[in-house]
Amino acid sequence: MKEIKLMRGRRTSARLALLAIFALMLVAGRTASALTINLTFDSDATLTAAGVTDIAGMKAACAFAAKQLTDIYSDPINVNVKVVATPGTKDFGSSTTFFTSVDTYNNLRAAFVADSKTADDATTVGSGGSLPAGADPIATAHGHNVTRAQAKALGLRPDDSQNDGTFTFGGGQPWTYDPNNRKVVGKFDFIGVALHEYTEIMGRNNVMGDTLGTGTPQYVAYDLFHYTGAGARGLNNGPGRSFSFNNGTSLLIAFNDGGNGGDPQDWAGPAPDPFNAFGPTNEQDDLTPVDLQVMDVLGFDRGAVAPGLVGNVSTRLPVGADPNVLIEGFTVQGPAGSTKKIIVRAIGPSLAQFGITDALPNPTLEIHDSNNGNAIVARNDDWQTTQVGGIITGDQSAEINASGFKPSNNLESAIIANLSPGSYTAVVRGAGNSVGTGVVDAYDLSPAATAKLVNIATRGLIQPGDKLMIAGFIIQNGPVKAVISALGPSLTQFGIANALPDTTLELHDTNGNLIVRNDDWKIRASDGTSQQAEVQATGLQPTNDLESAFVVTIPPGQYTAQVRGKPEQTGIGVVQVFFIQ
Amino acid sequence: MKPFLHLYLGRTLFAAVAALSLSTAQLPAGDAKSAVPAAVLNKLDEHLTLVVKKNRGEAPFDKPTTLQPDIYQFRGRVLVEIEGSVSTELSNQITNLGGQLVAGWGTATTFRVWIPFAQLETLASRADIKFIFAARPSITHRLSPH
Repeated sequence: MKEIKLMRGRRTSARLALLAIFALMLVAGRTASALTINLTFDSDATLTAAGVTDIAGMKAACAFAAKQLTDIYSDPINVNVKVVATPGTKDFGSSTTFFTSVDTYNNLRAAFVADSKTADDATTVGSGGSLPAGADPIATAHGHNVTRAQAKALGLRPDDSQNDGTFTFGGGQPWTYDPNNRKVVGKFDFIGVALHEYTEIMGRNNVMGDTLGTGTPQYVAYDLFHYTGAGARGLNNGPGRSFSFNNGTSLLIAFNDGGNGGDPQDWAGPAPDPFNAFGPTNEQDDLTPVDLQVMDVLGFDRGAVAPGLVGNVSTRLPVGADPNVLIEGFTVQGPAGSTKKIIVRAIGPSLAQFGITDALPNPTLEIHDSNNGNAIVARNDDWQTTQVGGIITGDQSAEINASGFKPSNNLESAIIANLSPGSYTAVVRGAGNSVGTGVVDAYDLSPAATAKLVNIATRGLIQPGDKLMIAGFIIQNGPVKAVISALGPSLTQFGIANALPDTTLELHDTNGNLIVRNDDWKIRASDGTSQQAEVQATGLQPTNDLESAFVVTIPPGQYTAQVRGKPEQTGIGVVQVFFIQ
Repeated sequence: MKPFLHLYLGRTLFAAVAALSLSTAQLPAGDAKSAVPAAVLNKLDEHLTLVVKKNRGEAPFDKPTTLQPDIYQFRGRVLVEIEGSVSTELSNQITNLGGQLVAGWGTATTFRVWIPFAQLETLASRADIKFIFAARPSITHRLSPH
């Protein structure tokens, strides 16, 4: 009984710790994402008969693919997709899409104008766009269409729960369903195929004069984005067509030549992309920036910020007396002359509201510039009292107050910093060398800036139980590929005597669900196979085999990377998250 | 003169039918409901039944609603699939009603027709038509593995 109680106590503490991290992260707010993709599946018996051996994995992969889109686009509609499997390998992936007719080109364009929300939308319907005002671009008798789902996104029909299309796949194909293991020798990336078919149902479709059984040649809106050159539409399925939303001035990517057996609205490839006409094995197909533009200009509302944005990083850790202070490193990457505006905070006493009983009573904060001899470039004790100096040139209290990220306790610290590309560290100490649990976090105040937060690394004292090290981060707007690692034994070469001799690493989502875990970085924990090549390909592999790491593509959301010793013990460790887009 | 008289009478009859259809469409909901024979409604699928109800202003369209028939329509005509028997006489009536038989689609017993909303009931009342579905134009695209 005693052990059970202890376990419960530990679990409760750990939950409170996570709650504190997530509650703080929630301050940043969620991205608006009201788009819903409703998936209905064949019965399990039918799926089994079709040769699907991992039905739960397949359904999870379908949901993961849907989330890649619903996290990016915010149209308040339901896209209803039926997922069916056919036996064997005769089929690979296909979509059957229903259409809505639009009476005239002017009505079609008016819907796009009314739905225009981004700069790319504005270009599309502007005078130099692919849907300009004026005469119908198609001179011969025809009808205009949008896909059924697209009609809802454009406000051409009310939202509903009727089927918008069907995604069919071959149940006997060698699929990999694992979101964290999509590039597998001899296997096809099921998530990439699902993205391909969903987006066709959503509007990335091709009709190009087919009558659709109506007796009249029909066109779908996406047909009007095919160009062979500036001002030259490619209203056919042949070679030489490219995607353009500015009337052919910029040919962004080549369409597949429909004469080669592949679909003419897909990309020619071969760079990995879920919109390609052909999908080889051993390839992970993630949505690219152009793919996201396609769906945006087709009527799906996309946020104004760039995809794959790291909106926040934070670390919770016991803050000890010197030298066991909490140190978080972060890297800003961008072109010369660019800057990233962030707010960095040191949180302590307000953690008590989340059940942290040993919260650091009065944290202080310093920012060091690693490019400049680790010099202190900013410091703060209580956020309402700005300490001018270094990169801080004036009183920041009003700006912090207005930022939406002001600390909730006056004893906590905050600094707004405009940082040039480079590496920095935020150091949190207790005032008067006091100790306790603290959080250091950073929020992006310039999401549209070309400079980006690309890395966090935290060094601290890791202890058994709920004194583990937790690094939190928020991904916004689109998926981000990351390498996450936990370092211990290799730290001894830097003179750290009490480094953890062995580490474990876990990634959890906002609900506490385990996304992926690792013990020794060369071995994939889920199946014991080697992941050495995959990690090494990033150039970010640990130097000690006992340290932990994995490569993971993370959809938008809130996450924590959690580091423990193995076996659980006390020692210095480092958790690193590299966002490699 | 006879052919002209025929044509005149035919036009008059057509105008009368069209006027009847129009006046039926404008009837209050209660009266309209009783005017549509169940045998006609039984030949229409759920979406086309909604088209008829909407056209006649019957519930649920007697109040503001976001409900819409799930149909493929173009300039006041709906594309339907018919189970029945194609004949010259039927084709002519479809044309006279302002509709059009879709050439080259289906068979002699399953075919597609564009028909004005208001003429659906007239079409469904024919003995040689067994059932009418809302056509749902679609396209299938296949992804290739290599």
